[in-house]
Amino acid sequence: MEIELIDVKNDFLKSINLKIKENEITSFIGKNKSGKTLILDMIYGLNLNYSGKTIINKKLVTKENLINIRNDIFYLIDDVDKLLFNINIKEDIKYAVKKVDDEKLKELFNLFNLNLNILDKNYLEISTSEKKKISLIMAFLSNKKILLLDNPTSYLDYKSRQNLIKILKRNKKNQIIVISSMDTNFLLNISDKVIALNDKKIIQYNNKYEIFENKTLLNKIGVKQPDICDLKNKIKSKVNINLPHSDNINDLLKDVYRNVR
Amino acid sequence: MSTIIEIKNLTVDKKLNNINLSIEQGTLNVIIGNSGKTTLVKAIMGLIEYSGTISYNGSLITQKNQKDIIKNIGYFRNNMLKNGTVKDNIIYPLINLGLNEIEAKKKVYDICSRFKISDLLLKNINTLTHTEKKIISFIVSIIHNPKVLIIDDSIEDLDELNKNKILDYINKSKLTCIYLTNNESEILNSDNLIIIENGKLIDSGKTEEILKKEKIFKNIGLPFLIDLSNKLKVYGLVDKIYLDTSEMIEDIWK
Repeated sequence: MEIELIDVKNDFLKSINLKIKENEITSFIGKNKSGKTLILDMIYGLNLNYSGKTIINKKLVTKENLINIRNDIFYLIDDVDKLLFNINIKEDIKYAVKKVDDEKLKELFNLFNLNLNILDKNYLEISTSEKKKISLIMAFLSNKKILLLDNPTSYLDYKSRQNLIKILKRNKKNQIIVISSMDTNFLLNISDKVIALNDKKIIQYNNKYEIFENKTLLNKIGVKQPDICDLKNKIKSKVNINLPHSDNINDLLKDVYRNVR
Repeated sequence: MSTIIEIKNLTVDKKLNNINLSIEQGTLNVIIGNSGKTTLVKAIMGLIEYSGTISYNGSLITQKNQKDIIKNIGYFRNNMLKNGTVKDNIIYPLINLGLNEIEAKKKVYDICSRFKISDLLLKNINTLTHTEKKIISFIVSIIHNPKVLIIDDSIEDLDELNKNKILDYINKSKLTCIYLTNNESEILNSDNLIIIENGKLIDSGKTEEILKKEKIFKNIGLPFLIDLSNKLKVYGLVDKIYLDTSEMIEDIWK
């Protein structure tokens, strides 16, 4: 299973060629309006206003094909309010997921520290953070082969972000997970591939450290460097010590300890 | 420093329990914690019923003076824009304040060139991207030059350029800022930190001081550098928490 963009062009993108594979988490980074959300919209067929082709599982994304294509995709859009509009949250989830696995729902509510009584509430009665959690739960209950997640960590608290990382790592087998986000600490931790958007073009990195450890490039594309990489760069420039790559604080800590001893 | 907002024994049914707080003029205050943050702000804005008292600049907020007092407060939140054009949304608070159309228009054009969004002025709100909506919401919340700004939306998902424009505006206007967030990495920018969990005030005070109390942050999480300091302490590599990366590195490899 794969997503393929062939010679995709419009006002915001210059001839994009790209393959997104399963068993991997692919992340898009770049400035606001650089085209991150636009590419997710194209994959979901929300935007068909371009030349070139988007192919999902050998099926071309066209107006006629939309229902067929969307059978395999869950799209968590940035504006979570648009996913919630029914009489209560239970109905919202049913609407988005169709067949709800109650056991899995309970497990996810627990992981995101949500009280089950939210199911009977209406979207006007819950906080933005709760809305975000509900929409993520919908994504994981949907059992779709492709998850498109736009800004999945915004409004989330520390523990929910930690659990989101766990769920994504557990789920990525046999799935295509595509993320657009500004949260580079999160992206450093979970990404297998990173695609940077700059000046209407893309640069694909199969090694995430190549981009996240390159502060000059990140500055150029308006993205904050992950804390761990920023620290490593400063250690290199201050005391000329090159620590190994690490994408989490515990590995970093061991590397520092080994080096000092 | 003088107190600009003082909250005494604030209780909101099932949501907030006996909150006492004071906000000093010109400070950046981060409020973090699982629940009660927005309720607190709604009470300040007079949008919900509460018991206890809230004062602004020494005067008690009552039903009578409430409308006048909240003119001094900007309230930046999710989903605040009204149907219509960007220009309509930005000009509305000014007309509401009694400015004539020429003055109001001038202010709108000034702020739009400052934030480089003049090309969006005639667009309908529904056609904007999520990020554009955020920037317009921010502008709507500060266009009337409030003394206090409440931020109840995530600005951490803006790119560095847009985020810096907002932070720059807050710094230059010497606004008193109340910033509600769930993201622990935002804590480091604040002067004061207020922690509210399950409707109760857990702690409030100078950010530097509160960051030393590691246990309080079990559910909230600590900013990277503080978390790392604490872990390095366990390894015996440092003996305090650091707010500055370079200082930490120099101490470890001295």
